[in-house]
Amino acid sequence: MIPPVQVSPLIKFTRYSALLMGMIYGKKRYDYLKPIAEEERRVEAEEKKKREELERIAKELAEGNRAHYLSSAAALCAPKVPSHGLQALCVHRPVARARKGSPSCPCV
Amino acid sequence: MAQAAQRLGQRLAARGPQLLSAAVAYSKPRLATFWYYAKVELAPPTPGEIPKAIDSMKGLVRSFQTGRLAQLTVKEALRNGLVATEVLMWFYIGEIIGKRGLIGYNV
Repeated sequence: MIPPVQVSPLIKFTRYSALLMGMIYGKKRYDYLKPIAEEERRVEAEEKKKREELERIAKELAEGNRAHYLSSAAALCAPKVPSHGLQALCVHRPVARARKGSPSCPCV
Repeated sequence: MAQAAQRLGQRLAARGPQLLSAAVAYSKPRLATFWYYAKVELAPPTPGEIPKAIDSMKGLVRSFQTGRLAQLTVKEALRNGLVATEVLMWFYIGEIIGKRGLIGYNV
């Protein structure tokens, strides 16, 4: 086996000081980034909650509108099934089908 | 996929000790050679070597000042560049150790 190379002390010294510097830099940067990331997560969770709240309200409004629409349509088309779901819109008595093109009946 | 993993696990458990001893027998001489070289080449500087390192650094600075830089051959320059790159990589390895994660900061 070839004998090991005698590394110059300068290189050894710089190597290990670079290693130490790297460790210190890594630790310092980690400690700096950690609270920032936690803050971000907290803000993100709050925003998400607010957004979900708004979406819930919007959905309720939409449901309310649709219920109103369906109920008014039900008055004209007289569906035989409970009035939620798009199928309800299309189910109506055969007599109503004769009224084709009638603007007030949304089923045809 | 899960079945294949299960069968692999069973085979490992059945032949575990044998595999372990085989691995140890394979790696022992190689680890020995590694240790033989690492003891000399990768060892940290002893306290007695630090003044020598500082002297070499001063010599470097002086050679920069006297313009010996122009007399470097390309081969030497490349070699020095490689050594400097290797020293730089030790910094990044230190950073990996400091941030306790291989890729990215796990915050």
